[in-house]
Amino acid sequence: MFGDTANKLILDAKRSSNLSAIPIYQSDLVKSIVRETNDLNKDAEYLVEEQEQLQETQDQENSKINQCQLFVTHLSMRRNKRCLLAYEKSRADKITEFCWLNIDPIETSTSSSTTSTNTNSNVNQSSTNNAVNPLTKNLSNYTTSLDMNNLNHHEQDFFKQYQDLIMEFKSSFEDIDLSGDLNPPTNIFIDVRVLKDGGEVTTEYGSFNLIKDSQFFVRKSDVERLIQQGYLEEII
Amino acid sequence: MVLPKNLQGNLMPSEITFLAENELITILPRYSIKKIDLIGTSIPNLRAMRRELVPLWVALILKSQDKCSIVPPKWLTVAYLKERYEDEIRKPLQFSDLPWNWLELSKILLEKAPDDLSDPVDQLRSVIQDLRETRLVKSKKGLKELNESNIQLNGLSLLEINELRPFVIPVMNKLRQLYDTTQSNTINADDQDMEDASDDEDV
Repeated sequence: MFGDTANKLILDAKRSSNLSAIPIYQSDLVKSIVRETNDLNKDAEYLVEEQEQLQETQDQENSKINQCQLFVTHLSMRRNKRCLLAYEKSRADKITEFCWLNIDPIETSTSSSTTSTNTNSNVNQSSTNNAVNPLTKNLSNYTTSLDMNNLNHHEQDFFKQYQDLIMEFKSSFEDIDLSGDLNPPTNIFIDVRVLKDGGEVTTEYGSFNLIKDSQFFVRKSDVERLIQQGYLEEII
Repeated sequence: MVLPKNLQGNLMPSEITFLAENELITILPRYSIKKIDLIGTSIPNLRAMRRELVPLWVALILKSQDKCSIVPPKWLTVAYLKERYEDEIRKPLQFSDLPWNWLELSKILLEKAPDDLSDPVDQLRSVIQDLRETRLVKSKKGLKELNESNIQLNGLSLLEINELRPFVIPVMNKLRQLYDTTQSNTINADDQDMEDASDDEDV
């Protein structure tokens, strides 16, 4: 029946709602739903035409049947629309969540320059090249990794534009790092362990070299972004 | 949404601890420190061995550097808590009177300033655990009374409310929805009856 393919799409959205990554875009399913909706629309147009004819001939009985058909066709179209919107919205929500986490997306084909937004800690350019794929942390209930190839064209556009929006918004509150850690601060200085090599990092209190498995005692605000990116791990 | 799902509509335990750390507490400084004006509050002039009220987070920083000792609040004694425990036992239908953040405060103080407490830490821990368990049992019993209109939680602390919230609010919302739909149905039915009646009168 009409709406069955849309139901498949919704099941897919539900399945992926708790994943930490965004799965590949179901373009085939979406296409078939759009085709179904187009067919329904043709039906509706045909029914409207017939309705006019029936009204001219004053055929009450058939006119009622026709109205009912038209109504059900419209309902099916609206259901398809609702399912498509729900699917897109669930993906858009995950993309925005990822944007705020401030992790670089995985880009396998194109090696475009990584837009790093850190202010006081700068990873050397040489080291970013060998660390294009940032280690993904295991935060529960977060979307922590995003493969650009899994998004369709419009979603990629949306992702870029949303990032620009965030940047614009953040630039009006320069003193506050709005995309920072959401946990309330506890200690000013923390012990951190380096999880993977990352070259030299400069902070307000001088620079230190990120060598795997070394430990540092640093100010938390200096290394917050490196923790987010998965270079460092806090030792409690 | 910008805020991840698990943070929407509920507080994390770490956030509750953060709120509790803004509470004022008495300290006994060991050094003199000049007045510091902060954005939210201000730390008064501290003089050695002169009691002063400061926010708990300041007290904890000073304590970690051994620059003060914390005066534990009046309720954090074995005798007082035992009394509250007796209260809990005696009154099965209500919660005894404790500060709204007794759990967090006692946890922080037991962890960070065990040497400043007047009673042995293990005894305090055990009586706090007893209190917590009796209160948990009570709040679980109270869940049987959930209805669509209201709930009374007098005397529950913030942390205890917070762990109930993700369960209680959806259940109450569902109950309210069910109630509302049945209610509107009966109203409609009444209207229908009225109309029928008026029709009858017309006839």
